[in-house]
Amino acid sequence: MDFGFTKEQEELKQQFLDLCEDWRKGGIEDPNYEVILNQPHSPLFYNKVADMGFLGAGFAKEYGGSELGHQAVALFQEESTYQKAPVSLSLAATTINFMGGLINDCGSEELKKRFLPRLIKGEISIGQNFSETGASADLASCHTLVGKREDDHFVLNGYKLYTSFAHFADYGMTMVKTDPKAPRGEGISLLLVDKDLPGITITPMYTLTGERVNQMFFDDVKVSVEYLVGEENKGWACLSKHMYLSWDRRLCLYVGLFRRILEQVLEYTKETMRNGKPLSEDPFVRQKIAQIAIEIEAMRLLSYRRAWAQEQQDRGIDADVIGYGAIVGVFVNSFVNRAASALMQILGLEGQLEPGSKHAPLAGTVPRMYLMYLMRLFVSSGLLYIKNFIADHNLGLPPEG
Amino acid sequence: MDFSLTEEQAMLKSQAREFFQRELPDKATQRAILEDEKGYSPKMWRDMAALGWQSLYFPEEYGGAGGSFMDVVILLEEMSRALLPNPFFSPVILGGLFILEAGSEEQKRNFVPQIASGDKLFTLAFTEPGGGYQASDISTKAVEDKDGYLINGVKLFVPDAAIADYLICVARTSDKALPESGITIFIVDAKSPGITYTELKTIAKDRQYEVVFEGVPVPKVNMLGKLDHGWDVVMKVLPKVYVAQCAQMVGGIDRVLEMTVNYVKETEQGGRLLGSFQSIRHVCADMLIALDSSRFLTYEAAWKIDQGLPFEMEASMAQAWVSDAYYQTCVSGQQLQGGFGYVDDPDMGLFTRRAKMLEVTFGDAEFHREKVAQKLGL
Repeated sequence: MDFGFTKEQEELKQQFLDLCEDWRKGGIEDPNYEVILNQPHSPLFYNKVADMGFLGAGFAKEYGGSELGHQAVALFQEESTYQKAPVSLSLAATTINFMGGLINDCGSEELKKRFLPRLIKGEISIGQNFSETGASADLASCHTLVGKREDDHFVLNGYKLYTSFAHFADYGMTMVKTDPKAPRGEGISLLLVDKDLPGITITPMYTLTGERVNQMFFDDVKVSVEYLVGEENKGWACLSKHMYLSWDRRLCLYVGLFRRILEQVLEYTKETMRNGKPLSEDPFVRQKIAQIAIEIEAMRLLSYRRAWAQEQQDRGIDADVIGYGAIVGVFVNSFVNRAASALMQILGLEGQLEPGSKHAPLAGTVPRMYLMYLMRLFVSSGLLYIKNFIADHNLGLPPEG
Repeated sequence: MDFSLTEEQAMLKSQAREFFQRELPDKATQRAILEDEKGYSPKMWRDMAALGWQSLYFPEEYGGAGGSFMDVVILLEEMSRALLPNPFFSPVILGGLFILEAGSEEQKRNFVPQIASGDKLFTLAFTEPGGGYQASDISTKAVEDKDGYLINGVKLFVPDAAIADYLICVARTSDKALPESGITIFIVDAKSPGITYTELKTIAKDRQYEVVFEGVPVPKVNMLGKLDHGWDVVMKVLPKVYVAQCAQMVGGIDRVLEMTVNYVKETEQGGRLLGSFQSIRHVCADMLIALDSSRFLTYEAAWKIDQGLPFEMEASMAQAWVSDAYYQTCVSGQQLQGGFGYVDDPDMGLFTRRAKMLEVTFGDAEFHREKVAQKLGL
């Protein structure tokens, strides 16, 4: 049992911190800077992080993978949000860890060589085009986007919903019902679809916090079979094995983020008076803050355990990566909700003030966080679904009746 | 980070698991020991000593095995899983840690080997009626007299006092402006004249005592640490006690989860297995998450102790989290096991009782969250 980091990991962390410091001091303007799911994102900075090897952990060197371990990546993720570095970890985790992971494990050699190096370097991105009406937690029920095989291509017709990165990702990993007569979970293919193909229409949908997700409409869209990931009609077999990657791939993003928020709240409570005393002397506030700090630490340890387990597995040592990942998924997704709610309570009446409002504490971050993290209850399979998985996989309970 | 046990720790864990399965093969054996006048089995105690368990954490120069705090944590987990009817915690943790921290070289050479060999039992006389774990709660007085001190006062919730050979007694030796000043710790011969023991009836049925001191003489050589500086020692030792207690609670959570999962896998209601109901599956998942989070918060604190790093924040984080997790896990266990778990015979009830006792012992979750708040700079 060892809860410290190696010299190499500490050095890597410092290199990243130095990059963040240089970036802040350098005042570099990135014309392509944007905000993705509430995270600042600079493609220029993303490339630098890719060059340092933080984005390619777990992939073979021949595809541009790095030899940095998963714990080093977790450290980078934690520090990235703590430092408020301009890199969207949601984008990185989806496009590289999840989508790249699917290509890596199920794609042809040719597909791997074409896509993985560019993905890992940050030159392209791949969104996930999975969800539909009646098929979001239950992706195996996908049916609204149908693909008909014609010689060397598929013709796609239908739609997808809630696709987060569709409006800017270069490609979308798309679940297509290529055999509409097949039952649930069968007759599904995974296709890499270029978002600029003729016949694709993308329209925005906005969440409670104003973040953009999308509806995608496909009208006779032709996709070559060379973009098939895995076997035709057997896409669910590939995807279902990797769903766990969607539960915990962000690992320590929330650790760093909440560490930073907690520090800001600590300062706020010391400086702010309520009922004639600093807020920091209120026993209720002290208890709530301490509880958040404790849960951040628990979340941190469970997240690093998952990363450690992945390293063990990569070395050929048996480790329950999926089971540990499920535990992280449930813990994180319920914690962020509780914590955001508790932070609003600590801030009192001012806690309802949103960004741009006069008197808004912490620049109005907290009510935004609260609304945003309601999403964590149902995205990435959904918290309750993952608990069912834990019941099956970790505990061996009888199948649900 | 590395989340694996060493080979030696894995062996210790499986050795302990097998030992308790062998020594406590059924409830009748366990209950007989618990209900015996002594409350423990001297033979089992000697067998444990032969395995080196009492000596595990103590330095080799004092007859110990030179093990780590993590080793003891692993052993305490297993003991708690087995609902060990033995006074291990009192002499090794409560007695041993205080002597190691504050004892003179002569005291360590005298007392530590006796604890390590299992020959002598120690316990801690700390809390008092109506009080908790603050210095201001200590009003038992030790007054200088001839070659030593005379102690007068009442201590409550002293575990295993009636079988102890020595009591580590925290007393007030002077009244100063700050309650933390003026506290001294003594090693008191449990058979001294003037001591009266009354067993308390506790929810955990765990042999805690009221100990009344009436003019109890203690020689000066039995002062542990410096006069009036005992609270400094308390502040150094108690965080380690918290971590050891967390280990006990983690072992309890582990076993409650195991019992509950086994129960819902085998028991039917309404023509189907309980474990096939979604709500029950979710509760079991929550229990597993409580176990894992509790375990690693405890292990992190234990690791920091072994590394010589500051660990007081982690100790209180662990205690706050684990004590809540333990009693909540037991509530879930009771709920899922229904009437079967509610009858007093099966183990579920005993874990529930112990969880509530441990929840308030050495500070409850609220107490420890306040400590965390202070450590955060509030």
